[in-house]
Amino acid sequence: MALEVRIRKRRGNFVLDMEFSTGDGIFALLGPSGCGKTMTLRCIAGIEKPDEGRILLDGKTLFDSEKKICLTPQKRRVGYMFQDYALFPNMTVRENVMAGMGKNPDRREADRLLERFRITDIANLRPGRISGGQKQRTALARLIGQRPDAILLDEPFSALDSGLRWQLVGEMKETLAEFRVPTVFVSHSRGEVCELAATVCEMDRGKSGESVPAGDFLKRTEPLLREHSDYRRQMWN
Amino acid sequence: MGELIEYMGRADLSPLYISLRTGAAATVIAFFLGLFCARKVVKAGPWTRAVADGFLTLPLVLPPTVAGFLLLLLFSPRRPLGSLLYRTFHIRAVQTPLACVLAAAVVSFPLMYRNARAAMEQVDEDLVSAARTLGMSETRIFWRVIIPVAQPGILSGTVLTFARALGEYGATAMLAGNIPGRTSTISQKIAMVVEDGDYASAGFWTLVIVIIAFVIVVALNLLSGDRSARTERMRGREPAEGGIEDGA
Repeated sequence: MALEVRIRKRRGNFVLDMEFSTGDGIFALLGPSGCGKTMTLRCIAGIEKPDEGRILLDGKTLFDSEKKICLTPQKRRVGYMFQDYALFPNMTVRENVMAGMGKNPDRREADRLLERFRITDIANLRPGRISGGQKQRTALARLIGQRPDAILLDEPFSALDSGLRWQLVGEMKETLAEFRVPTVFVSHSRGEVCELAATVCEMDRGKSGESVPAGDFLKRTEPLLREHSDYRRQMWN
Repeated sequence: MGELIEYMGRADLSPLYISLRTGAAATVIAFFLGLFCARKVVKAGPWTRAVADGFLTLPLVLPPTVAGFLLLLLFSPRRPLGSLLYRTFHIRAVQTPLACVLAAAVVSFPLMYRNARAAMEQVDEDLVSAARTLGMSETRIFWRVIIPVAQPGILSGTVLTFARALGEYGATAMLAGNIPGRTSTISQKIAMVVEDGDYASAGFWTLVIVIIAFVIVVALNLLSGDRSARTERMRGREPAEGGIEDGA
């Protein structure tokens, strides 16, 4: 149960040079916007093609530049939550959830997911009519419904206001603990990362740093602690 | 005015039926061909795209008579393709109702193609990527995601295509001729009666075409009004009821 990534990609002056592998628990990529976090996820999902390197998921090769292997996104079975959730605007919440369940989706299974993510009451609404939190739950239900072999989360909380954010961080933690597959979580917020991740890798201008356990990462610097306590305070208030 | 009313009573309405039939058939052809070409062009590389787009847009910028003449060269029974069609399938394209449809379809095609292309290009790339990661096949993505999201643009393209096909004159005159009851469309009828100095008939048919055109434009406005409301919702500008997340 691991995702191993070693890729390089050039785009103009920007060079993405990533090397990491996920262990048990959630793996977080932390860095400011524009450092290549999203690009990394897009390479893993098969939306973008790296120039060179290798991506392995549970021993299955998703991409290998030397062996000229590059699976289509459809064959990778990687669940991707987009920053703005990318829900289909023409489909209802239920149809969105069923979209990832193959050609003949089981309606009862879809209903169970709707129930589990507490979006049954909005099942027949389109994404344009639901709130940010409901959108995120729909996206998460859709992602779990496709039974992915790995999960990629691109800033899943950035579109939410802070009060709601921490509630959904908690829900996300619960869901992911139950659904144990390699998970890469991308964020620029140390608070979110400390709360969710087991392992943290800091990125700097396209380059991955060393992967450290979240506990060590938390202790490392003073400002981090302060931000984390801010978050604790926010949560209890 | 009296003449006009009198003409209405005894008018042969066949040009109206021929025009509507031709317009409908041409729109169906241009619709599927336009969607198909738009999809191919959207997916193509920059060079293929530029060249193919230029070629597919030609009928829009060329004088209709030029399009008509080229079609005549292609389908004349004395030419390879035309004679092949006649010998093997007994299909005569020139001077038949089929010629009306061909001419109207070719001339109106770019309107369908360009509108469909613009609408497809505006579909958020992330939606397509999301559909791919969800395991949806490319065909399914096209019919279940791209077409529905691009639907308003495709609809207005279809309406414009129909309007253009309905009034086609230049290419139709060259390819189909003006045979009463068979290829005489409203626009050809008008040209003919004006030549004969029969202004009452011309006035009647002008009125008919003006009414149809007006209805079409109004329909188009209603459709595009719907579109802006839709995109607004798509961008999430419209807050959900209460605007606040439901409780835990």
